[in-house]
Amino acid sequence: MAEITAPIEHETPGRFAILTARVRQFATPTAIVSLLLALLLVFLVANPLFQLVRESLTNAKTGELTFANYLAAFARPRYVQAFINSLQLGVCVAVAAGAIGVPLAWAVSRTDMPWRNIVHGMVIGSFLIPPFVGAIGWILLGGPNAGWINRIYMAVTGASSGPFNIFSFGGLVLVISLYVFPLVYVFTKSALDLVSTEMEEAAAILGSGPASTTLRITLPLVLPSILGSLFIVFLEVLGLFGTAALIAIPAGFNVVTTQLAAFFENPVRVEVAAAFSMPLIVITIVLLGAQRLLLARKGYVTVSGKGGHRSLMRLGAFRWIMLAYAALIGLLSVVAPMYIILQSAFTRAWVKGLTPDNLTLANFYQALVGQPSIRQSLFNTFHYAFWAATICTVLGFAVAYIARRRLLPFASALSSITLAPFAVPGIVLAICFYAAYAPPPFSLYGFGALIVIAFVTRFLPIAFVNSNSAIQGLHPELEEAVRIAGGSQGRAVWNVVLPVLKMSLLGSWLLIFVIGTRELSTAMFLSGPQTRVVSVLTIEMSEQGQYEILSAIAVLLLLVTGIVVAIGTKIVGRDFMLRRT
Amino acid sequence: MEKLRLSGISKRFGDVTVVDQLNLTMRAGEFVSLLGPSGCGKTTTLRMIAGFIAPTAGTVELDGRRLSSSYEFLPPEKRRMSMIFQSYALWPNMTVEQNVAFGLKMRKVPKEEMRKRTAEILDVVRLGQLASRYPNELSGGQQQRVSLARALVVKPEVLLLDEPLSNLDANLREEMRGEIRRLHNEFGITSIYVTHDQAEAMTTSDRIAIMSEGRIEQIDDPLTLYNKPKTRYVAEFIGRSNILDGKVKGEGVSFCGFDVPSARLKAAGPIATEIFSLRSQNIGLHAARPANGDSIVLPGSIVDRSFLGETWDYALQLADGSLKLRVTSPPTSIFDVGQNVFIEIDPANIVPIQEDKHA
Repeated sequence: MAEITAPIEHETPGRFAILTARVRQFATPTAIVSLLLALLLVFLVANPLFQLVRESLTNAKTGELTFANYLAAFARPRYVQAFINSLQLGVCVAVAAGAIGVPLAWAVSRTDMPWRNIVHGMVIGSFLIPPFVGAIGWILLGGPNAGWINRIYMAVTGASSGPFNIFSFGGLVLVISLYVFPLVYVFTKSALDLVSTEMEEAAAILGSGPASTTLRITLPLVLPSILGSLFIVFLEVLGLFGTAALIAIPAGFNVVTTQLAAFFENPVRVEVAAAFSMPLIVITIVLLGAQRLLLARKGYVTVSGKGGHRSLMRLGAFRWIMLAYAALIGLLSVVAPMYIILQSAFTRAWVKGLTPDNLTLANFYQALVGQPSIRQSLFNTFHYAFWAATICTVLGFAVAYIARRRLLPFASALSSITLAPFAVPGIVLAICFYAAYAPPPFSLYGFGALIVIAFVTRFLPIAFVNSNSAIQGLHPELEEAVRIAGGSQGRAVWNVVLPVLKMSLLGSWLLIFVIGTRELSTAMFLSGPQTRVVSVLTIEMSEQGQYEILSAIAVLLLLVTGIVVAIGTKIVGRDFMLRRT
Repeated sequence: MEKLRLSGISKRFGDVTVVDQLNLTMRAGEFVSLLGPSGCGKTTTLRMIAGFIAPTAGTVELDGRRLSSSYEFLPPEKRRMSMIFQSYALWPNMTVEQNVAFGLKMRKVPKEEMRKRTAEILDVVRLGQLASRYPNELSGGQQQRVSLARALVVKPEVLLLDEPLSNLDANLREEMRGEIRRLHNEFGITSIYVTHDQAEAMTTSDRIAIMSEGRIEQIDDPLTLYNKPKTRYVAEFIGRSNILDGKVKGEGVSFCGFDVPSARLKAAGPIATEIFSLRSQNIGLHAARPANGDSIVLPGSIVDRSFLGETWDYALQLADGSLKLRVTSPPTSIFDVGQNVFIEIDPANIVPIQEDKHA
């Protein structure tokens, strides 16, 4: 301020003096760090997205501007059918996930259903199972002839064939729903948790019974959250690759993601894939926008005022029906598939079941020692997830801090760029990175770094949102106290902000590490022979029918996930895994 | 006519007794406040009447019909009561009109009548213009009036109010407590009002029940409560009191520094206590010795003073050093610290009180 007020008393400084003063004002260490960060974000987010659009409009051979790629992508009925299949799948799964998630959320949040904590744990459990692992479990359970459900059915009825075929549209809906419904559950439950009991009591005292209160008051209050979560589910399904590849392809139909993968088979047609993925981005942006609008409407969130207390709705005998429903979901999503995977991990031939001569540890030996390619991909998986989580957490914190404290004039633009990957399905992101950094001058294809930076971009929004809400809870006066005591901005961050936020940052690191170990769609087109990750390997091994070793790998993956989550729960607190959105 | 009767109701949560064998009987159309500090059990009592909490022991009866006891229980939706909640609990997904009409819908009132009654009550609370608004588009006071309208439109047997004004600012609170009393005068609904604010209870209520540790210490009309507190707790909770020690000696009571004939204390019946309450407003202060009428006049000096805006708060010591008193005086009566003064007490204002039963 002194430089600005002083000249009024003396003489007007020259333009050059003002300019150098301005430069000096902005060329602080903070500003330099911030600028570097901005460049990094351009590299990680803006450029890949730009390259996707450019690629879709470029003739691969001549480099000329063209719309031919869009024609190629949408001219064939087969390709369009893949889109229709995906949309149908999205709607069916959204309905099924709603039918599972909403009642469970209501029962756990508002009622006296017994064992609510266990049911909640079960839902978190199914949240932690990577979707492709669940799909493998269901292939073992519901395969047309060898699947355990069909064999039990044949054994009981004496029929010559079983009725159940997981390799069908219905089967795909079932398997996806069982692992995506926790999203609906989490959104609905956190909304229900915020509904003051007084809202329900006000209805009760005016003569409304429990059922009427639930239907007229409670559910309408959380309807925006439910609808929002269904949109998210729909988008999740649209971009889901693993389960679709494992079930839809054997079943003989394509969805958008498997069609995209087909464009990457020889001859690789990145430009057509880029064009084909454009509608996905548009749909995503539209639905995310709609979800924001829904949640912003009418100030729906009704946090209970002071003296707000919560009492649970008494269900009477109905509570046992709710528990039975929860138990059925738990059986289908966690218990049965995990049991079957555990069983096949320890057997020579999964179809033979648990007989003494069928038991073996060979699958684990093969995975960890015998087959170097598996060992390599296990190492890659954790290696890449570690670096992705670390870089993400640092970047996410830096951007959030700069944006929150307005350290740069264009800080809000930085946070928008950081959030942009939310609107891009993982498989499309993989195409972006393939287009941007596989060809020269970067030529990163086949290097682990390509996968790590793609993961960083994919998970950056999560890290940013986590850090942002943590910094939001930190009063700026804490840092101002450091400044007035003579410390720099950097010292304030190092000595105050980071120590205070270390738990939230650790939580965000663990979260990204866990979801990094299972990320499939982003790694799909970017991993070469030496840079394969477990999720990609799973798809290949499933095609080859190596379910026993596959199960052993799944067990190892779940084991590590379980340990990391247990550590996180212990240090950071319950439900830290739910901070994804 | 007796409307509501609580007989020996208790509520225990584990080892903690929140309400302890409480008795209360209300006439039809009466307005009773439950007044006490937080944690005294007043809200729990209200919620037992509403039916949100089942009593551990005792019964709740309405018009002679049993609603709650330790073995039978009518759920809240069947009690035909209304309640005003601390947070108002207006449903944000419904308009003002839908909020108000909800209770009528539950009572299966015909459409036409429902519309008529809703419009009428909205006019009564002066919200007719805002019927199609949503609650979050209203100010705090307007939301409060919606919640009143919603409670009154169903013509409830009993109206329960749970600290309804605690979320409003001071001015609005004063306005709304007048509104609540006005609506009570107009509709005459039997009402129970839970509050920790004396002024609210005083201005709205026919009778006030002072609660402490799960019991009613005293229930009386506001004036009696102020002038004739029965226990130390009530004397100290309502207004400002000096608690005096006194010993009954034959025909008189001997306080520190002065004696009073028992007859002049105007106590009903013989005095069987050693403590007495003397309101700080009921002590006169004079610079010179006043003409000695029937009052007791004693010399003393000002020890401390503070000006509270509408009154002076003086601390003074009697000349014989035995007794310290707090005196509340109007702003015009100004004395300096250290100044010698005379106090004047009308013995009729010295009220014998009981020690707290469960101190």
